[in-house]
Amino acid sequence: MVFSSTIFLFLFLPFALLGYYLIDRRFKNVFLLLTSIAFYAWGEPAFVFVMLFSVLMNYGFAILVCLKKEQFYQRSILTLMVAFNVSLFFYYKYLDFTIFNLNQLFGWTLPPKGIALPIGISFFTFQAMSYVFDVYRGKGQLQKNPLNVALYIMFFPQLIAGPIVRYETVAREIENRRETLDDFAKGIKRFIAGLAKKAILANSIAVIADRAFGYTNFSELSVLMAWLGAVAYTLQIFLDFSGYSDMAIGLGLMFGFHFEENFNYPYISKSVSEFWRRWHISLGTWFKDYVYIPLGGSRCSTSRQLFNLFVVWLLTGLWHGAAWHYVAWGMTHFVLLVFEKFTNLPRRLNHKISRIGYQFFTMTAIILGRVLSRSANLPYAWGYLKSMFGLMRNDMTDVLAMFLLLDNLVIFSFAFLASIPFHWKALDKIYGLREITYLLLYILSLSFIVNSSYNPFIYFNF
Amino acid sequence: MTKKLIQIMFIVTFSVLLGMGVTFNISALWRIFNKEAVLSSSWHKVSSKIESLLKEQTYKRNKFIDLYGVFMLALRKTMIGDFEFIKDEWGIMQCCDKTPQTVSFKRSLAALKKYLDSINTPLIFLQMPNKLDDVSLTAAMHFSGQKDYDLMAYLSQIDIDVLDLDKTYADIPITLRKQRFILRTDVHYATYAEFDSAKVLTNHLSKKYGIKFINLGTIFDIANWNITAYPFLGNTARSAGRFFAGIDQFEVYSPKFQSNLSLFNERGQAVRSGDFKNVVMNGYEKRENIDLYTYWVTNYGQWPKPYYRYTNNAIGKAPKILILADSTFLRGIAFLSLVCSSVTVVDTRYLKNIPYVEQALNEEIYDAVVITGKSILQSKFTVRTTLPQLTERPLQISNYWIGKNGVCLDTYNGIRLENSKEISIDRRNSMTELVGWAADFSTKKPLKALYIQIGSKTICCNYGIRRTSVSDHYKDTNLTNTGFSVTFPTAYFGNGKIKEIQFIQVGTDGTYRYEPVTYEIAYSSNRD
Repeated sequence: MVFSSTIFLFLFLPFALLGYYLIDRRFKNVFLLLTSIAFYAWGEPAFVFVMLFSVLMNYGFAILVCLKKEQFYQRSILTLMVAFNVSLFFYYKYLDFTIFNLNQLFGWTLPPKGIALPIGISFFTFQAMSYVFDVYRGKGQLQKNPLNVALYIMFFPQLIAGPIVRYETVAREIENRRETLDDFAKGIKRFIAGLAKKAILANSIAVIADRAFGYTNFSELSVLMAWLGAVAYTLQIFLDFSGYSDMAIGLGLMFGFHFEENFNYPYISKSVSEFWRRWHISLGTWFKDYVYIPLGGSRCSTSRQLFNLFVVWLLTGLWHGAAWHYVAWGMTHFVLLVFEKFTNLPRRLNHKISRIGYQFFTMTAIILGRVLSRSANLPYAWGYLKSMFGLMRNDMTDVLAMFLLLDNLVIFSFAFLASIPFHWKALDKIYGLREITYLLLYILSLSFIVNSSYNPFIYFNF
Repeated sequence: MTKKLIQIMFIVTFSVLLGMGVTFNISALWRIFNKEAVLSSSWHKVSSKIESLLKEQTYKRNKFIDLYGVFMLALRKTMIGDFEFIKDEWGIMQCCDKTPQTVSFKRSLAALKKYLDSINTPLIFLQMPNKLDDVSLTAAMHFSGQKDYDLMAYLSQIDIDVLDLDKTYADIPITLRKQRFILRTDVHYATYAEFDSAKVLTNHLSKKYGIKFINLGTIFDIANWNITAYPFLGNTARSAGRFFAGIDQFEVYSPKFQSNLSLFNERGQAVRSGDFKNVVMNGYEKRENIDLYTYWVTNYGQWPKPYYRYTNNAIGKAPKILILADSTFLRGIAFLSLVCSSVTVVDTRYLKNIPYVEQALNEEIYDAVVITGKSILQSKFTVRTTLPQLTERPLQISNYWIGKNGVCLDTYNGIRLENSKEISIDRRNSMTELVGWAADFSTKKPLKALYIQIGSKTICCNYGIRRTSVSDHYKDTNLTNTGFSVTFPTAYFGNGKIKEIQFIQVGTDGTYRYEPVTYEIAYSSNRD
């Protein structure tokens, strides 16, 4: 079930909210857990049990890690916990990829397992590990009630596409939260903003990206079409993902939870380093806190730092998908970050023009990187990138590209506005005008949802 | 305080909107959840189906779509959805489509052409006006109904007569053509386009093939028709709404004059009889809840039936036409039913492996076969391929005539023949089967081969069938395998022009030594 669907908006959400606010406080968590299980089961009934098993195991690991304070013991438990979660993750997400590569490398003929990927496994696995790590570090209290652990991991707003909620941020709220009118109103606005980003903007722009990346003959893919597709995908992935995060955060607020921000206008970043402080913040901080820093972070030799960064970006690429073009994408960002780290750019740039130039370079690098992640495989990505620069004997422009550009100029404008910290002050001039705008936006989003046959959700695949 | 109040009102309004979403759609949800077909599938299919059905049945869905269309106008968009529909520079909603795969259709056409040629029946491809005339985007993508020039070239190559209405209407200015013939919001044509196309078709059949129609002047005089226009939002506009796409005026034509027609189904059963309105039209104009979404196109004809026939009980002697068409000519077929004694319709998209085209060809002898449509170009159909192999007439090798020899015809289409040299042919039968026996009496052995000559056509008979009655009669077992049979289309008799047939016997020495045995042909009844 996705948030931008009629079944969610006309059935699930109204009943979830009604039930939550009617039920006694003692049972609110149980109610939320049951609705979250129903939410997940709607799309993946069989994998609910996998998730419940994961919850149970991680609940057990957290208890075990708190039993003794002996470092060796605790680290052994943590190792077991990581091994369990990574194994589960590996089995569902990377086993077939590994089999394929072993076959390629050694000429074996191991049969692939054809394992279906449970929706949201990348998110809830990391979330589950976060619980045990935070309990171990004392950043969150051990949950004696397994239902609360289950709720933390399976809470439907962030279950299938994040943000990866750190246990320490919601530990207190699981047992002790208060729903306020202010939060509820903010939650609605956030939800509607996310819904509009997704249903209106992301879905509209996705059409362009899909058409551009659908070419198989690169000589027919004009330079304009290739850039249009790459820029469209860059916008789409942001609107799609940040839209979903907005909806998740908004829904959290409606139920009294305060999730941390996941996006902070990443496309205004002046460097790649800054980009990763603004893009998918929850994933970046997860890797920083649970992988980079434990490995030594920056407080070690240069070679060790490089190694730590390499590991993080290798894992980041792999997290996004079990395919080499995702690894390549991760490595691209590794190279760029290392470049900035060791050259100290753009801090060293004093002139405004050079800073703007570097910002332009950053944005171009991000767009080109998106081609890697959007492509089906590395050879395709390479062909596409070459088409962007006219190196595939392709024309500069074509009828279809011009049509798509002109037909979507206004949509692109709105998409750009949604990507920058634009605050329409005119809406604050009249009391209630902003609220009315949100409500109209909700109805408009509904009109797109009701009419659409096309509703892709990119980060669902993770 | 004001801020607090606004906040409360905002929350309440949102909650009311959510509540309305549930309340107004609960009945649709209940219907969907209870639907057997949905629940009998796997869960994945069920959940997808429920979501899809709920979207289709959302309360006031059309209003939402209108709102969507307004916003798309504000965004200055011309494309709806993921390359579903595009509003072209003429304001016409075009349906994006993949380039049709016509390979199977071409093969079927070639087989049909071959068969029809053998029975001297003309085959005409009616190319309706190009909806995408002067539309720039056709350079970049394919649209439904786009003229297939590759197919046109193929049709010319296999010598199929193409009646290209773009050429017929070339003198009409393009703006007028688009206004008169094209619906802005639907893949189908305006009623006037089908009316005039039917008229052009009948004129073409009359002039080129000498097919005689009657009452053309009355039937195709628009003054003899009641025309009622209804606001109509067609199938290319239902995802965009009335404000985005505009509204067509769908003209429903009903005749002022009397008519007497019958409708027959694929089993030959009469399902309707009466006048044009009761037989050909489906009574949408009598409905209580006529609105923008009433799909007037199917107010005519029998969509989506694969096979049906109209007979005109009031017209007397008139042409019989077979039409292979999709829904783009439903109204045209309706008009043709008034000038033909019968119109047989096969929609090859819905055959489901039943050989309805063959059935149609076997049931009647037609004055013409017409093909028209867009989506049928991706269908295929079978045509009887068991036509007798025509051969060269065997040459008489020697001048030494032995004289007339033993050929005896026993039955015609299973009916015992008197011992006479005349066969009375019933031309209502599409096939003719002759069964008999023949032998080489000079050698008292079976012939080497037996041929039948019908006009210019020579067919080698199936010879050597066991006939113990012959060997018993002549008390000679060598004459056992002397039976023969031959089957061929009755149309080989050339509409009654052929007056005799000949049996040519090739003797045991491989030579044509005997005078051909002649049978005179009379016609017991005509197909008219």
